[in-house]
Amino acid sequence: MEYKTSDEKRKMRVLMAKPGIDTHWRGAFVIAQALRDAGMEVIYTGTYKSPEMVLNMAIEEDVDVIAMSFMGGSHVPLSREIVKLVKEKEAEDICLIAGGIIRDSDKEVLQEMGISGLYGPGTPLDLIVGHIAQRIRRERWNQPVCCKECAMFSPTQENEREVECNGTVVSHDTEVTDCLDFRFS
Amino acid sequence: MGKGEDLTAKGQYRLVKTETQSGIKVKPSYGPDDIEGLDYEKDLGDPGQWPFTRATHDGLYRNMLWLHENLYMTGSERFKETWIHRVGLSNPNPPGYDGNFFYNPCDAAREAGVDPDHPMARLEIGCAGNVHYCLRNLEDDLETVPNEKLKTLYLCSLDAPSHGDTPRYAQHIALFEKRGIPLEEMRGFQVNDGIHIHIIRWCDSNPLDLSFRLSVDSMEFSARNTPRYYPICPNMYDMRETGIDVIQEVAFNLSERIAFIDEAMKRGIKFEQLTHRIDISFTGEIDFFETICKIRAARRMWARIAKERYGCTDPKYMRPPTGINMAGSAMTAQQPVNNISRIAIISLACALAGVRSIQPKNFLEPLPVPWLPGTMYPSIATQYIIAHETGVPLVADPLGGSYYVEWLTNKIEEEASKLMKEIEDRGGILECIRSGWIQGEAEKKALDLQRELEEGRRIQVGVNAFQIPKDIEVPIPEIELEDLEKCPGGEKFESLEEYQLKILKEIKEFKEGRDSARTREGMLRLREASGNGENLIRPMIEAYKADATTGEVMGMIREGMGYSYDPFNAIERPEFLNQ
Repeated sequence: MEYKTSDEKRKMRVLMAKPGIDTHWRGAFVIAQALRDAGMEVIYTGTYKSPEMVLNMAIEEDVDVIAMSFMGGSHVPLSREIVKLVKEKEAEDICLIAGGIIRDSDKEVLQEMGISGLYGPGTPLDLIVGHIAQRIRRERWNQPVCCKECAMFSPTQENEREVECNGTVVSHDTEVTDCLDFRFS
Repeated sequence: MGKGEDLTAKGQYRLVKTETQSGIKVKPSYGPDDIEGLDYEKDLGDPGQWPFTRATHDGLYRNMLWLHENLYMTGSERFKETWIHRVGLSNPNPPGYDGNFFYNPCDAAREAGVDPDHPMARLEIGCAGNVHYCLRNLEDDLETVPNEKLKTLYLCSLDAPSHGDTPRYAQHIALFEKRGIPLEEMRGFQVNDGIHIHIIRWCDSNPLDLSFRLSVDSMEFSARNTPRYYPICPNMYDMRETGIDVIQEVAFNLSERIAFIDEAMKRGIKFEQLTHRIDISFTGEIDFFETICKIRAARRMWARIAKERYGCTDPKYMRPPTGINMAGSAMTAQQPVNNISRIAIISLACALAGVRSIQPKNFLEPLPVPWLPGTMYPSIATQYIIAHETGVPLVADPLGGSYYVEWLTNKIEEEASKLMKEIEDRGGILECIRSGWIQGEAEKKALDLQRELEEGRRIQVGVNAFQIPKDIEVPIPEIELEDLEKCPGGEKFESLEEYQLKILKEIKEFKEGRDSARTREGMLRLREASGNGENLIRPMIEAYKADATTGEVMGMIREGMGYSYDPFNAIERPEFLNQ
């Protein structure tokens, strides 16, 4: 089954970022393609991008999400810098998501900064796609979602107050199952 | 992409994939017809005989077992600077570790060829390697090591292809000269591969002509001055990790060798002076027979190239050692204990193929935990189990003559030769990089590999099939950062940021405290040499002796070649150069 996270009226826009000077690009590159396959518009920053450059690109491209790939161990200082810049540039409405090789104790630190996802190696791509779609719908489009399925498969309708997922009506009050379920870990 | 389907039911009783890892189609069985025309003398030869398909040396592991090189590092994270190399020098644990290697892996800044105080690097100081920006760092590290010991040390850089490699070679030489040890005594190994970083677009902060030139400069200097040092090594490990297949691995490796050697020979270096000191370096992948056969095929292909292309007649120089770095991507974050089995299988394949060295992975490789000596035990023990319990090393090339092994060896040679021909027709590997063709080929493979997994065409145990039920616990050693304190020379910091501030302060003091007139002289001489097309190793050595930093050394080389001082155009050249 093909994902359909976007339609002509509304596209999910993601900046796939490699902040810093670590150059392990394969993960970011593969996930960027998975997001494209799911119908999102993805801008890949390429390697060697400072936090400042990443933020500027995100604002210029008017993205919903900055998805960051951290493979070099520098995720905490880099994220701190990015969060600082987000505040300075008043871009707090952009969702921050990250993944890579991240210690559990650091995951907590990143989560406190509002960075979610934090997936590691071997994560099925649909989990990542679902998580990103979910955050965009809920936080950027103000749409009700209950799980990754409805985040990825329900049609996009602007400011829709209720959607249907697996036969049940989902509203803003419905409890949300986050795509943070590490099924395979 | 697919839905990340669980393949447990599908894979319980049947194979899901019926071709090799790289997609080579194979039949259910092989017989004499499949290797018709195989000529023993011409295609195999006894172990130690041309074309070295079977082994580089007669007797092989009866003479000497394979080396296993173990790198201890914290999971790309923190606190490694002070202890990582000292483990190699002073710590007798774990057993079998003879303390003869000095590892000095780069952190991200040094990989990119900039200093820790560069605005792009500040937040990544100390990540994925240790901090080294000047000769004094190296001198401090080895201060306690007497000259007699230093002579026997193997100076290694196993893990990273980068712009830190050639500077490090210059630093090693500078250290030996300052200590008064003859360069002939210097032993070591480094990747220093200025080509492949551009194929995989990794650490490609400096342009191809610059990185290629530095590699060839190292070769030339080494051929003339450091006859026991392995100055470069076309490195396929990193490339394969980006997703390329076995055919590309073999073809890119040999094409790179040709490009490097051709260029060195243009400078008057003889084939026999150097090429036996350039390892054939592959990745140890989980596909058992592909791994065995690619190593056999590459030995044969190189022996043929050495004879036919370079007219080499002395067998000694036609059989470079094979070094294996085990595939990190073969290890899974899910059920990491299973990685011990994978390490054993890959090690066994390498031993059967007759490699000279294996760098086994740590079974916790994909997890962000420190690589402590303790976590290397299973990998090291595996080497000894294969060596002393299995009987495998008793006989060289025990699989030689197997219909399937010989067929697959032939097949890999045939396909890789075709690809090498294509590379040559497109103007050689350097031209293929300039045109972007080869990068495109490599990138395509990265996607294919993931699609295969997502679409359920390949099983990776624990990842997309055979997960352990949630209620069953598989013990995984818990490693806390506190354990690092047990490491010799360990130093504890509250946070990575705290450590980074310490380094920034250090480098500031270093730059302010040095004799800037002397540094300027050394740097300007280097820039001049770079502009004149001279071999850059000697002027690099002198610049380091004059307290230049790696960022400054690279900046001068860049300027000499007509590039901007800073690869990221974020900083200007240091003020004191303009005075």
